[in-house]
Order: sequence, then C-alpha cells, then structure tokens
Amino acid sequence: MNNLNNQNSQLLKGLFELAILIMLEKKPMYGYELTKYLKESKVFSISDGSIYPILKRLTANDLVDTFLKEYEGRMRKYYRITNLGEIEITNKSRELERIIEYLKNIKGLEN
Amino acid sequence: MKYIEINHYLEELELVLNVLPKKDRDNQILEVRDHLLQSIQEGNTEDEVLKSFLSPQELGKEIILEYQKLYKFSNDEGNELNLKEKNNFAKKIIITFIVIILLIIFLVLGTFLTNKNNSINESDDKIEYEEQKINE
Repeated sequence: MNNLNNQNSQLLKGLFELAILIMLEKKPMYGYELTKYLKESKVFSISDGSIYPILKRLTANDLVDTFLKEYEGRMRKYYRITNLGEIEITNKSRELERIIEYLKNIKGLEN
Repeated sequence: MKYIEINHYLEELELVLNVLPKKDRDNQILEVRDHLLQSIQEGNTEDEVLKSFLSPQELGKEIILEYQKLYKFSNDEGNELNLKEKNNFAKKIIITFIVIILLIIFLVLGTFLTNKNNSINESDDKIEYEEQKINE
C-alpha cells in the first residue's frame, strides 16, 4: 500500500513538474505566481511553499533557469524554461498521450 | 511595516536550512520571503499566509532533501569517474604483468634452447672423437 502511495505521489510529482514547465513555456514566472495558477486549476492541491523544492529540482536538472529582478524594493526570483525544458515537455507529453491511449484501449476491451 | 510573524518564520527556516551553503540558503530565504510578502500584498493577514504555508520544518526538510539528491548525484558521478580511473589502472597493471611473464618465458626458452644446442654439439664432438679413436 505504501508502495502504491509512493507510486501515486511519484506520478503526481511528474505531472506537477510538467504543468510547471508548460506554464513557464508561456513566460517567465515566480514561485507565488506559479502556485496561484496551479491552485486555480483545481487539478493540483498543493500547500503553499511546496513548489520550491520542485523548482529546485527542475533548476538542478537544467530544465529551467532563474534570474533576479527587483520588485517593490525587494528581489524577486523568476524561472524561465530552457531548451532542455522544452524537449522535456515534448517527451513527457508524448509519454502521457501514450498512457492515456493505452488506458482508453483497455477500457474499450472491458466494454 | 514590520512583519513579526513572517520574520520569525524566516528565522526558523534559516535555522533548518543551516546545513546548506550560505549562498543557497540566502537564495531560498529570499524566494520564500517574496512569496509571503506578495501574499500579504494581495490582502491576506500574516496568520492566513503562514497557516496555508508549509511549516519551516517541513519546507526546510524538503528543500534539504532536494539538495541531498543533487549532491548524491554529483558524488555518484565522481565515484563513477574514480571507478573508471581504477579500472584503467588495473588494466595497465595486468598488461604490464603479462608483458613481464612473456619476457621471462622468452628468456627461459632462449636459455634452454641455447643449452640444448650446446649439449648436442658436445655430444656430436664426442661421437666424432670416439669414431676417430676406433679408426685408429
């Protein structure tokens, strides 16, 4: 059961990362902004703050990079997608499409 | 305007992140601070903001975990390189050992063959001498 939970959370993490990358493909964004969009989507239920370890991972894997910009007297860290990140979106989206297609097929077999 | 609770939160987070290099720690704190202040600017109270945010312990733990994975990965890469170097070193030793063994074999074989030729020549001389003696 623990293993199943772990798999679920791994799957969700993967989707979560993909959603972040897709949002960053549109424009550079900062942590609060990303969290807000993700929460508005109602697909992902995340606690405020939990996006930062994920952003750290994406940065470490060179899927995104960061830059600082001043905002109302304080520094704000923005994330933007890299070429590797764009490739990752293509690959992960294809993978996801294959999985959904497979699930549709086995559902068809059941009917 | 001072945000006592937010400052307290950030101090606690900084303590948890104490194991990280200062640059990384400051970077994380800067980001969380901006998040909390932005949330307040959008009309939330300090209490509300901090209630919906991960505790400094939880967030700190997750951030450290990511850094640990990162360091582990680079260490593994380092180990892999060391392993390759060790393998190359072992290969060189084996090749040197084989070359030495082959040299020894050639030397022994050479010495053996030379000795054998000498003894054949000696016995030929002996036969010749004995034949001469008989003829006499």
